Amino acid sequence: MTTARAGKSVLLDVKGLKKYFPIRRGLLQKTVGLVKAVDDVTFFLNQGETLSLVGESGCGKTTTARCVLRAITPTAGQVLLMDDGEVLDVATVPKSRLASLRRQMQMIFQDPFSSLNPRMTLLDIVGEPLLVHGVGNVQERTDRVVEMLRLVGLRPEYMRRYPHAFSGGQRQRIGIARALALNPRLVVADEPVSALDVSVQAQILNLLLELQERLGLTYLFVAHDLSVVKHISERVAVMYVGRIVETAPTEELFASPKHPYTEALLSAVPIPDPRLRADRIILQGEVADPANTPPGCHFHPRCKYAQAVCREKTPVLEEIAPDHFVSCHRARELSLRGVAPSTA
Amino acid sequence: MQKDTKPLLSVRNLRTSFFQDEGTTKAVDGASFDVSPGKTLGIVGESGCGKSVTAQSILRIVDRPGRIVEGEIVLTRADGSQVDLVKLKASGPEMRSIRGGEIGLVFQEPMTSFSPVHTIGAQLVEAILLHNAVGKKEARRRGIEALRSVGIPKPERRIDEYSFELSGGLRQRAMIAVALSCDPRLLIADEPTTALDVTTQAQILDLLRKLQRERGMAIMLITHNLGVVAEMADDVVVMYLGRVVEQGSVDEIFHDPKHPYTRALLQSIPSIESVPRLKLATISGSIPHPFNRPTGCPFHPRCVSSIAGRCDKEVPILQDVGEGRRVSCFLYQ
Repeated sequence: MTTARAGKSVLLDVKGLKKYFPIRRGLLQKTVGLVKAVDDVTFFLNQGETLSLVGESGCGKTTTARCVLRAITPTAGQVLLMDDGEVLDVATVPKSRLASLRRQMQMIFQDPFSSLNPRMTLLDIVGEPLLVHGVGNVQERTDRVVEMLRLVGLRPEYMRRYPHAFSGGQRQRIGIARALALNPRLVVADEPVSALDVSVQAQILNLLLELQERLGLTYLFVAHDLSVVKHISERVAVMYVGRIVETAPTEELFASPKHPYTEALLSAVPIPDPRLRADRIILQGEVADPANTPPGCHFHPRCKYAQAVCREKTPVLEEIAPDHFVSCHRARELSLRGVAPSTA
Repeated sequence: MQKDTKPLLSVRNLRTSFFQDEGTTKAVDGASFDVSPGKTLGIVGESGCGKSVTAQSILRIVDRPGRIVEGEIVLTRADGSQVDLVKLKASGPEMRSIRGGEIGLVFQEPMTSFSPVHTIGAQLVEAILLHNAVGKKEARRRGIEALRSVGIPKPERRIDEYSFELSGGLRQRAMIAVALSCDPRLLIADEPTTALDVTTQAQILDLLRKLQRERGMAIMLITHNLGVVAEMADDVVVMYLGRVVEQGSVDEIFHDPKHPYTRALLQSIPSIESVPRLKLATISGSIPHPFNRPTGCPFHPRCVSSIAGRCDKEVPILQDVGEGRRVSCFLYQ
């Protein structure tokens, strides 16, 4: 799945990414087990598109995003970033080159309350990445901050104020301005709207779409809310216990999912229309423990289509339709239920 | 909102304020609604709309410096007699028998609402002993039964575990078991699934529906998630800044919203059903800080249909617009 599709160039290519956290016990801190937070994840991201990583808590989506930024160093695998024709492996690049790489990759955080330093003014917050990377002089940096604040819909007059003077939605705008100050190519957004009220959520989603169009940004979007994901992304990757179970273009994934977990996940989302109260697929049991994963397919203990092979063999991610990858032994024979395309 | 049956709970002109040094916060500012027996009432609104304080007022557990300033909360008891909860002493015997007895409560955050130093069983048995004349052995037996009825596997073992040993979904089930252990006629669920994943949320909502069918209890479901309301509620109350802006049946609210706020709210949510990457309609501005309440209709600064000279001066009242529909907006007066 590494080839670029017609007319698009790949910006990020993640291959076989693994992140294991050791569980240490006892006086000598002996490693007694491994939490396989990310276990062989492979995906790519085209220039200018939005890919969403979805899944439930503990599925490894945030860990994957952090490995991509090398906020944490992956255990194994490659994170290839195309940098002006040159291919760099973010996972292994020496620390000395990391700073210049990070200028191209920035992050928007979930919680706009804890991700802004309460003792810094907007000017300091948005200007900090410029300062860290030694961009311009004081005047140039201030000009850039003014420009960024305008871009995200905040008044530049407010730049001497502190974050407490702003509402949740405005704070999230500050976080976005900070992430974009260095003109990055890749923006990793980890649940950027989940802490916001519904009426404000729409404003921020619109802003993210608008900025993408204007600046040609590429988004790696991490989220658990499928309605938000459907709204913002071109392609979606569904994760379950450290692995990607399905990747497909958004409309296709929602209309005809090929993995039983995707089917159950879509079916669980409550639809804001009382006339569409449908039969939900209620998954039995609990999400598997990433420190003690079941053999074979991680989803088999909860899967109603599971057969003997699912318990024994780990399925691999296969392309079963153009751009549609599934990791399920029975993907080709099952006919699963999606979400009916809207008439609106 | 049916006229033929007596409402189980009737809230009239409820005002709850918090008196702080910085000023008075009117968390609930004249809310009125009814809960019908055996039905689910959804209370929807964004943060700061007063939905949780409304629930706390009903149970008389509003924290200082807050208190109920005005209004009536009339509960129809099992024997048909009526009692105004506002007039009862918050820590008196009658209120204590209602709270947790006739009215059960499920909180949003199951992690913080259980004590971490007592077992699930100890907390469950405590509730049963408080409201029933039974011995410890019988209480424990009922506790195990309650855990089983909410679908917790191996309840004989789970009852002796601590809340941190359970997963989020199981903890919320245990919370529901505690609330249901005394067979309440009304269950108040304050954002019961907000902290949970979608698949777990589907499990819990399914459980609530099943329990309601079996026991015929009424549910007051407080949430900001319109999808959950559409799925669960029979009737809906929409709140904004401490006031009820609109109420009606779930179908009317979603398919024929009257108040500009309800309309804007419904348009601004992305749905799993909608077309991707379309610009969403938004509500301009943000929710005002409670110290800075706008004059007149609290929604007028963000309202697209605001009438200058009227909406910013006068406060609209909740009026009947036919068939149990009530709207608080000058467009309909």
